[in-house]
Amino acid sequence: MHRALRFFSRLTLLVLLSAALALPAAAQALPGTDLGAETLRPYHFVFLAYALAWILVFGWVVSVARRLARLEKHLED
Amino acid sequence: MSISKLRRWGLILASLGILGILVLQALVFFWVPTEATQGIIQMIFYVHVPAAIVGLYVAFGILALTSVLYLWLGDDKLDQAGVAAAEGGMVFTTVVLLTGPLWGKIAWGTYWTWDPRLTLTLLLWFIYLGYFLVRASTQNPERGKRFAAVVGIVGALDIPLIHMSVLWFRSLHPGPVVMKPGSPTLAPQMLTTFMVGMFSFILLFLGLFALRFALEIASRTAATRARAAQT
Amino acid sequence: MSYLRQIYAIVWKDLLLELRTRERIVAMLAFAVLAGVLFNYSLDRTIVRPQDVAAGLVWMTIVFGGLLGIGRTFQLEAQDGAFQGVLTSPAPKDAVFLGKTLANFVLLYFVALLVVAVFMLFFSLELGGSPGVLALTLALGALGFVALGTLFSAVSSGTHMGETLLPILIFPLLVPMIIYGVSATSRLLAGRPVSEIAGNLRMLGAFATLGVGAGAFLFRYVVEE
Repeated sequence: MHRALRFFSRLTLLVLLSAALALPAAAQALPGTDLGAETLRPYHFVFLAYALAWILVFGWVVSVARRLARLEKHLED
Repeated sequence: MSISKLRRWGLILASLGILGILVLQALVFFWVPTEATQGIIQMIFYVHVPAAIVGLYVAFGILALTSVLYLWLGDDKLDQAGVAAAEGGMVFTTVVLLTGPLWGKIAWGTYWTWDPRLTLTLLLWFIYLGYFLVRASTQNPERGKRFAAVVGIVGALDIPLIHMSVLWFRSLHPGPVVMKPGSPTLAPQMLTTFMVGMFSFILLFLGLFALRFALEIASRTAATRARAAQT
Repeated sequence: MSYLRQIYAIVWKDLLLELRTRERIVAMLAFAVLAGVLFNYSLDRTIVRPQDVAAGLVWMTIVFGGLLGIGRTFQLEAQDGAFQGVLTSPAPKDAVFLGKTLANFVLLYFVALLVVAVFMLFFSLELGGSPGVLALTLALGALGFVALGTLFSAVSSGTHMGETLLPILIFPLLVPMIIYGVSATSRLLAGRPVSEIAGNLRMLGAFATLGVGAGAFLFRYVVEE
């Protein structure tokens, strides 16, 4: 069970990290002034929305998994 | 239910939920057609609406129910379940509040408008905040639990009134497209994608709810033990 | 003692206390007048006419000034454990709540009427054709506000955040009162017919009922040791 928890939190950490790395790129593309960037804006927004959603949701997953794992270790001692 | 059972079920449900979310992401990227009038921005719908249903209805429903039952029966488990639901509800409500404006900027031309659902979501977020603040700022934990339950109940009672009043104030939000009486107005592929999102969010929430519940039980066991060791 | 007499005893005790100390009422009244002064300078009269926004200002002044007084409902009695005495008295907890709420209502309603009077004076408002209905609107809104305020004042005074917590807990719940109250008030001030605001009054009544009912039911769990 412990191994499953650890795997779980590592997987989500990975997803989180990749999303966080992609964020600045999306944010940079936001202030679009020329026409090309302007038509791309919905894409950036969709990307940003999904990135934020996954960061929050998986952040919660990681946080709960880590707190639970730490506490159980503490209780075992 | 014991901690280990909660943990097992929580892990199973949460894993299924995460799997579902990966499928959802794949469907959104490769499969579902782009909506004709709104274009690509409509894709936010597949994460925004499930998060709203989970954060606003499922989580708050559990919170309201456990609050009432906690004051009535006084069982500690009910309060622990309430905390677990409130934490999840706050996370999903935050998702709603962040994704909504991004959609609104493209579709409505503005990040924020005083639309009933936006307003209600924001207020609900603050009710969740109050729920955690009263717990955190009470010395006597038993009192904190009762205070939090009172916040949950009064919030639940006031929400219909808030809803009516903000609806009366102004409405710009697109109407319901899935649960409308008669046939859904979504294209079949979009409906499938939405349903995948809906199910994975609910599974993930229930799984995490169980895990968070187990965490709360364990942390209180640890606290009681620490107190017993001190004396 | 009958239920009503118990409520009456609490109301009388609280009002007498207020009459002797005059702490809360002075603070609220001074706040109302001074807020009117500041509002006057916060509006550029070449852009906004004060009459147009007066209803909103009246209600916001009532809310902020009211919080000032209601937040301290349990402050005075918290010293020397006097409130423990009230709780151990044979009066049921909901009677204590209703008594406290009524006493607070008397104070706040007095402040609300004064706010309207002061704003009329400061911003040369016309009262409109039906001052009685305006008084009723203020009374219904104030009752709901005071009920929720008294309940959550008991909550916040039990935490170490104290009064700073009160706005966070109560503002989200006040949205219906502000929406229906402000719209009814501004229509009345603009001289619109009373029939136009019948729905608003019903909703304010529902809000007050909800506040009083929820408070009377939940108060015992808040003050329980």
